[in-house]
Amino acid sequence: MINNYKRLEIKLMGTVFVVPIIMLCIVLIVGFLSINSDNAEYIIYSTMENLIPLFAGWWGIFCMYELLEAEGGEIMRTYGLSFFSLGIKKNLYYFCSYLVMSMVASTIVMQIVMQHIFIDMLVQIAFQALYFSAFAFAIMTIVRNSGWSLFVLMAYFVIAFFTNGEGLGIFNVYLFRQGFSFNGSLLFICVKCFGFAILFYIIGNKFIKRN
Amino acid sequence: MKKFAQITFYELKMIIRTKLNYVLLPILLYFLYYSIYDGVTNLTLSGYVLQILIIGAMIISYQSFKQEYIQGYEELLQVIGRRYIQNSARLFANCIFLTLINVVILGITIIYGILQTQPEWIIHESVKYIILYFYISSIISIVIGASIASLIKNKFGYALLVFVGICIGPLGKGVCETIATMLNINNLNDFINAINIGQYDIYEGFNFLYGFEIESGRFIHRGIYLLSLLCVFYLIKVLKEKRQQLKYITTIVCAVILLLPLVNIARYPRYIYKPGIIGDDAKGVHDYLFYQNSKLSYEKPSFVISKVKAIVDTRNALAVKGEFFIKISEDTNKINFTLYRDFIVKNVSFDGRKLSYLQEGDNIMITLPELKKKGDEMCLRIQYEGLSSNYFFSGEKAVLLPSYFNWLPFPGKTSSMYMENSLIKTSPLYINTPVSYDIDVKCHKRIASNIGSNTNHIIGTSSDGVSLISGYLYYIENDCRYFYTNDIPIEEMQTYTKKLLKYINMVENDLGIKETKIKQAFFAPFKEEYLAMLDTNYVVNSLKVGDTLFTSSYPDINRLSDEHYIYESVACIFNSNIDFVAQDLETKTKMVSAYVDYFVRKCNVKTEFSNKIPEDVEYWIERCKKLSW
Amino acid sequence: MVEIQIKSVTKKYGNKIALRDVNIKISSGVFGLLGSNGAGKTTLMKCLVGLLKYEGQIEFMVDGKNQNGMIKVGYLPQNFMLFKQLTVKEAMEYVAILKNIESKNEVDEIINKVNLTQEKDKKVKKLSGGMLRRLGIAQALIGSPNILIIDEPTVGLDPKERVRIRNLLSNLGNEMIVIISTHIVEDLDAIANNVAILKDGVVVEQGDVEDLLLKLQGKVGSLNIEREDLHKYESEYTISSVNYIDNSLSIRIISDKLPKNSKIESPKLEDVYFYFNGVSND
Repeated sequence: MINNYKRLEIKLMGTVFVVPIIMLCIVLIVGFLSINSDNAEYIIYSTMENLIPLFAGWWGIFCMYELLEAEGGEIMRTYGLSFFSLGIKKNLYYFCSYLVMSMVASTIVMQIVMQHIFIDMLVQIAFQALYFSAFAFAIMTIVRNSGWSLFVLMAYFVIAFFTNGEGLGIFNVYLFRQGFSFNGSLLFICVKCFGFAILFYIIGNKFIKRN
Repeated sequence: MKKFAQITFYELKMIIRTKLNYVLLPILLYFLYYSIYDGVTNLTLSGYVLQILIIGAMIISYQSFKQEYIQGYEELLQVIGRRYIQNSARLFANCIFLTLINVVILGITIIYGILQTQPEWIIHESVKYIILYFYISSIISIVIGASIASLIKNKFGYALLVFVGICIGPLGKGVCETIATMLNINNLNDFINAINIGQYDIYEGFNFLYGFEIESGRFIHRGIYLLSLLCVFYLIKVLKEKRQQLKYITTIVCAVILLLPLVNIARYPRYIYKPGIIGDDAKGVHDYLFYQNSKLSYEKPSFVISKVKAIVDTRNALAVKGEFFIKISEDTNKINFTLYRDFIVKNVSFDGRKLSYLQEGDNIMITLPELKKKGDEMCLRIQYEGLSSNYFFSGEKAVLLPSYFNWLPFPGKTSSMYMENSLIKTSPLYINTPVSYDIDVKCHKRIASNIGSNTNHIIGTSSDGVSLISGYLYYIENDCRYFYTNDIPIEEMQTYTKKLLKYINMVENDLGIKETKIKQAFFAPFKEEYLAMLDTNYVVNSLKVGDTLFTSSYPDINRLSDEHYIYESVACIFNSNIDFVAQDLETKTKMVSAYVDYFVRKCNVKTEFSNKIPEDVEYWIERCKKLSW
Repeated sequence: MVEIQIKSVTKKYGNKIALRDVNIKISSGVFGLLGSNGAGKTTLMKCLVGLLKYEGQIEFMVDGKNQNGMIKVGYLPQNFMLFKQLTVKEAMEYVAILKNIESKNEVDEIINKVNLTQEKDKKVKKLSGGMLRRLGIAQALIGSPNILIIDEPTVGLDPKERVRIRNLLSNLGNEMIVIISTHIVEDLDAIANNVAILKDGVVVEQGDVEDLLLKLQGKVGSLNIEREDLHKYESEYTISSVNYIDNSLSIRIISDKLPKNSKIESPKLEDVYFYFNGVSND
């Protein structure tokens, strides 16, 4: 399932690889714990929206570590691989892997807590995750330091969380609803996420070529 | 010392020259600007600024300490030696760097405060706020980052940094409290509060009476936190560094010796002030959990209090040593008082003899040594202390103990608060008979009271209980004594009071209540009472108790219509009557709806709010008039 | 006079024995530690500077007396980097403070000595490989150490830089004990007074360079052969070099019994290395 190359990449990432998986487990645990809670819907919705998209950026940062941050990373540029394949393609691969896992986790949680799977919610999370994955990629190519890239990612989340997205202006992609019921703003958010993701990939692709 | 300074200088140079460290600044400054552009008082809502400062400080320190490992000169430095001084100097250099960043934050805040023409005390408090919450927290984060770098060499350190940064920051508070609620582990909250270096409540706005939450206990708590973390840091170095272990151990021992006498003070500080939180967010609130199943009932007492002589210490929490002179009104050998449950009774005595008592919830039942007959007089000495409610408090910064909140024992058996329509409300518990008070209040600031002049020794008689209020309270005397906080314009306050009193007197007249002239009006952040019986869910801000008017901060007083004033005046009067308050919600709703409708028509006032009028209007109006006023 | 006595030093990493019963005596001048990769040179160096725990004894003697605590050691590790963000002068001053050196002049003198005067205000991260290596030696010299321990001094340097470093170390050998570990024999050929050859953690030979060369007298020869015959000679003899001359090969053989028609050559240190270290013709 995972070819040799990816296995080695995962090995290179080290222990940080498991962090998004742990986060998805936490989402599941929160789901189980909130089954009998009065505010179960709100808790689950906010946990899913806050955690799942954000950690899509995690692998986006650390998959670029060897190329951009580690000592001697420039040697990878001499292997004849295109920057697209070293950058965006790799990022998208990890994003898709994460997406599959997060969709599974979200489905399980919604089924257990709400006894219903909200497809809208899955779509929303998928696009938000794409946004964060691309955002992390762009930041990493600019900053070239995993610590500070994480910092920017966290800064985004923190101000969104505390100001209900207002502090981010146009860059906000969170909806901060009270539950799973949706109105017409979902399409707008998906288009926005997708548009920004494209922009971030373009920016990242430009900066990854920088020496 | 000189070497330490020299090494610190070079370490600082390295930190300053690391360009990536400046990623923190623009983001931090933007967040800060966003937080305070509306007023520096919004610093209380700056959880995101602090959170990012914590994580940023950790990363700066982490990368500073990890540098030698990444660049490969760790072993060389071990050979050269002086690792102890080097590590200490590096830590100190990181602290200096963060100090510079905090100086920038401070400077911007002060400038903003001046430009916004904020009062001097707010600017002064905001400086202390930044030192407590931003500066000390960033130093603590530095030590944590250094410890993690010393412990973990691989990339997993970043995951740990983020995790720890969130747990100890404002973000973690909300997350951890939710988890604690879900797992039903109340003790976890204490632990979370102890390890958290963020604001106590990340969503709370500024309280103009209390100021910022910068009690001395918090400074001590953070100081001890920092010392403990330094011990941890040096302990890690003892385990990791092969040389100069003795120096590290000596440092730890010294720090622990310093800590020991402070540990007793540093038990999680008693932050008494926590503002009222409403609705779903009230889940975690202390009073909400206790009173959620309680309905208001009132059992009349078998005695009357004639005099209260007490020493009240409000400087830390509330501590009262009181002599309660009571007159028995029916034969009894048991005395029932109602006292807010968090005030723990330490001692009850009569005539030098200790009496047995049972304190259960809000009720104190005292067993007298023998049966007392009607007409007997006695003096009970009661000593109690404790944290007050989330809504009413006393402490080093402010005191908010209005007469209708039973911070003094209230005769009879009832509850201090009750739940109605998912909202927590205060029972209006003030003694409705003349009581002579001689209360010596120990307080850091001048106490404002409904009795006597503005001194901290209150002597006088009142049928409306005694209020103790202090903090950033201003005073003006006009037609009555106005006590107000900074956010209330004086003219608006006076206009509001006059207009409200006009309608109050009209209502009193109509209900056959003796008109009372208001002698003092307190405009302070009292818990708002919700007149939630009407469809409009109208929020009531005022309560009249005898000759005292209590009003919580009200924005845009000028925009209030006459109908507003009628609602307020009805609420003021009705909510101060315990017989009314003790009735069920449906009855109260009908009574108030009927009465308000009647009064609005009587005054010929334009109606904005919809009001579900009960069918048998006249009956309900009569019921209102028949309440014991 | 300073002397180092390494007595029965053994170092194990789990089951792997990195150093086995090493006995070496080092007195003045330049001492070379020769050995292939993984022979234990760096391990021995780290034991000398106290970075690793070991079994056995290492004594630093001054005029016959044990002065373990008083001896000053300067160390340059194999992978050297130092305080990237500081300039050369600042980095040196920092190290001087750590080594408790008050004199500012000493720093300037050492910078001059290693020929980094023009780069003294350059940031360390901007230095070339050779300059960085010189900085490494410079920081080791701070505090006038009695012993200088340099691990792979010339690795990755161009020929001009290597000669410069060698000359510098040779001069320093007149003032203090300089221990150099390397697998580049050329580095020691010109400057070392004594060498020890390590193989798989064991000292296979040690002594004065001249004496070692004498031991190999008559055991080093050169021979012209056909290309097809190279294999045959490789299997029978130790060949230290192969040179291509038109269609034939000129090989340098080290053996106790040289082939009949070989020409006797003067042994070099490289031959000593090959002789005691075994075949390495890859």
